[in-house]
Amino acid sequence: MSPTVTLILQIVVIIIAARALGLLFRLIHQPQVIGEIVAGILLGPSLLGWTAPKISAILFPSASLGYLNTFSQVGIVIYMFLVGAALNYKELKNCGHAALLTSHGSIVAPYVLGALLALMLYPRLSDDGVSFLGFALFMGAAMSVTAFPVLARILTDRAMMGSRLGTLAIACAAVDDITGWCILAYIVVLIRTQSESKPVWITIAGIIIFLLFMIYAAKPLGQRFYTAYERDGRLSEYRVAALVVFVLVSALITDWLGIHLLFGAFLCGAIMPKEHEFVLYIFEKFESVTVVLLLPLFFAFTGLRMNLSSLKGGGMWLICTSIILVAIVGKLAGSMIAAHAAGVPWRDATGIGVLMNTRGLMELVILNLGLDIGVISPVLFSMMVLMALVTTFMTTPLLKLIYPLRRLALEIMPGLGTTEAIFKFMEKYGSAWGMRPEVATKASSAIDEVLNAIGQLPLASQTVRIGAEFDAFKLESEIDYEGPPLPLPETAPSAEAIMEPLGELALAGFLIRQHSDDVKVTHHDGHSHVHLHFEH
Amino acid sequence: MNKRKLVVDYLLIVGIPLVAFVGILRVGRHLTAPVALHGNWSVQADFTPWQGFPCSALLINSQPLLLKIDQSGRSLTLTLNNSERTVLPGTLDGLVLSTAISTGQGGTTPIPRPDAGCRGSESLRIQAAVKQRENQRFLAGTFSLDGCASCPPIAFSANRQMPTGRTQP
Repeated sequence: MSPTVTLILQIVVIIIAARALGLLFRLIHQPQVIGEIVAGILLGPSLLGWTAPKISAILFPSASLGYLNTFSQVGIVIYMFLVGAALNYKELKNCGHAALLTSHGSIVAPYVLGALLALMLYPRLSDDGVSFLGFALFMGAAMSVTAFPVLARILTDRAMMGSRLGTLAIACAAVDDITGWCILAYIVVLIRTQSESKPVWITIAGIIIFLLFMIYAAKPLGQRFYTAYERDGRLSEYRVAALVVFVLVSALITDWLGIHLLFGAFLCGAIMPKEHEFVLYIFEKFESVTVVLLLPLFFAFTGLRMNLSSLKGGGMWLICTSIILVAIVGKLAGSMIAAHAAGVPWRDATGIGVLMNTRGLMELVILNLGLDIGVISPVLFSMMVLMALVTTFMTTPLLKLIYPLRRLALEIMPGLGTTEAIFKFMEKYGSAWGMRPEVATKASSAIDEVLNAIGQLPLASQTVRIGAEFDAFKLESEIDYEGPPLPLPETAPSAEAIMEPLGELALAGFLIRQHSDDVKVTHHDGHSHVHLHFEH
Repeated sequence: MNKRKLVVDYLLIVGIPLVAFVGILRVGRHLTAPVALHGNWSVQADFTPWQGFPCSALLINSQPLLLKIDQSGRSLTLTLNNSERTVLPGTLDGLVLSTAISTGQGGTTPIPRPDAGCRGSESLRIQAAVKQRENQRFLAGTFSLDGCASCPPIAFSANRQMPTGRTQP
């Protein structure tokens, strides 16, 4: 097969595997990215190479992996630009001292434990090509990383993004990322100056000059992209091309300076304007090709470098288990204790710890970098990838454990006494579930209005089924009845309109909209369904 | 949040662990790790004495011979650039590298093709010492075929091509 045919075949197989596993993991309420990472691992020597070596040799001949690596590196460069673009320093200011203490605690605890673990790992899994200092710093950085983008996705999926907990977690993750990348840049300089002829002062002076250039000269350039977007509502193809060139040149400069392509791309994203709509637009422009095409190639390349069969013997698995435990204890417990010390209640502090323990894709980026520069060995790489998977996988189940979803159903007949019944119902279960009283009151009022409206509907059923789901971040209520759908006018009906037939129904519909944070009505085959959403 | 409490908490949660971190780095300075061998090594050896012996095609037809070493501490995986892509698991004991692969059915994959001339009862063995010459490490050792009494060991030396990094999977 020609190299082009091999590469295209590889891309086809990788995308199909990534999408299939991604979907499967979505079905078990896990972020899709975990499925895609697992797909990459399964395509490598850990499964395909082990069970079907001939197919693996045809699909992924070693001579072809250079092309795959190049494509995946381009993907990671663009992805790091997006990660930088998503960082918002303003969130840090909003969180104040709690974010400062929590974020620093969440870095230092896993960092120190990672370095402590390095004392055991250095003589066993490293070599004298790397100093203990470089090895310990890398282990600390790898232990303390938080997957900022995966964390954001989990928070969005669980409707936690706007909550105090979500905001604090995002702010801490941003600090962790910036700190982690600064330390990594130092490690790369440390390792590369041992092997390269370029004097270290050139690297350090170059980085400082480049940083100053980016902050004072390139940042206004980024602002010009935003100005153009604000004026036209979009970026022209020339401007998008200029942005791509900007990112790639920035990446090339940092690579030439002796750090890595990724730092330039990340920095380029970090200096971009942080206006929400502009960031979303940038994501829309770049995310599809990156997430659908290039990132799965990176996962597959990572999987091809990872070999679980290299973990031979109980000793190796014991080390692997120790790494996973240290990573969890350091990050989860460290963040939890720091958050509680900063005044966050224990339950929410545990939630912060669980969220900060999400490592995901960022960990893979760092580990591949570590393997590239020779600071970690292939076996340690495999163990650390496993740790990244375990810590990311456990986030959603642990969050469900800490903030369990509570469900209840009630059947009621609209009419006299329903108002009292609804308020009593919400008061009783709302306080038992830890619901804020004002949310319980809002929900009771909205449900009461729905019942009131259903009572006025012609041909509406006598019995209405009310379901409620609560998980500390939101309250969802589902109301089902037989009959026509409720009207939900955006504006309040006038006094005259209220006096007209069905005028009170329109008023009730308007009040339902007012009481709830979101409401949807669907109707099918004579059956109507009202979905009420309340932020907690 | 009380400013004084913040300072005290910060010292407890961040300051003390940082001091511990410095202590760990000081302790770690005295640790020694196995010598670094990972990378590609170009092998210089004369395999003509193996002409006509079993398994000779394993190495004779692969000139120039390259040895790729993947290293995780003392554990090594050596890959030869012969037509078989022979993979040899090995270990590093101090400054001595040793590895063996059985060419028979019970051996480590991949089993050499019949045209390599192996009878199936031999083991290809590499033993080498890590030596230093003008700040450059090199390997000096022998290739031998266990199970072939008449095959003489072949002396070799190998020089490293890529001192750092593990860029290829």
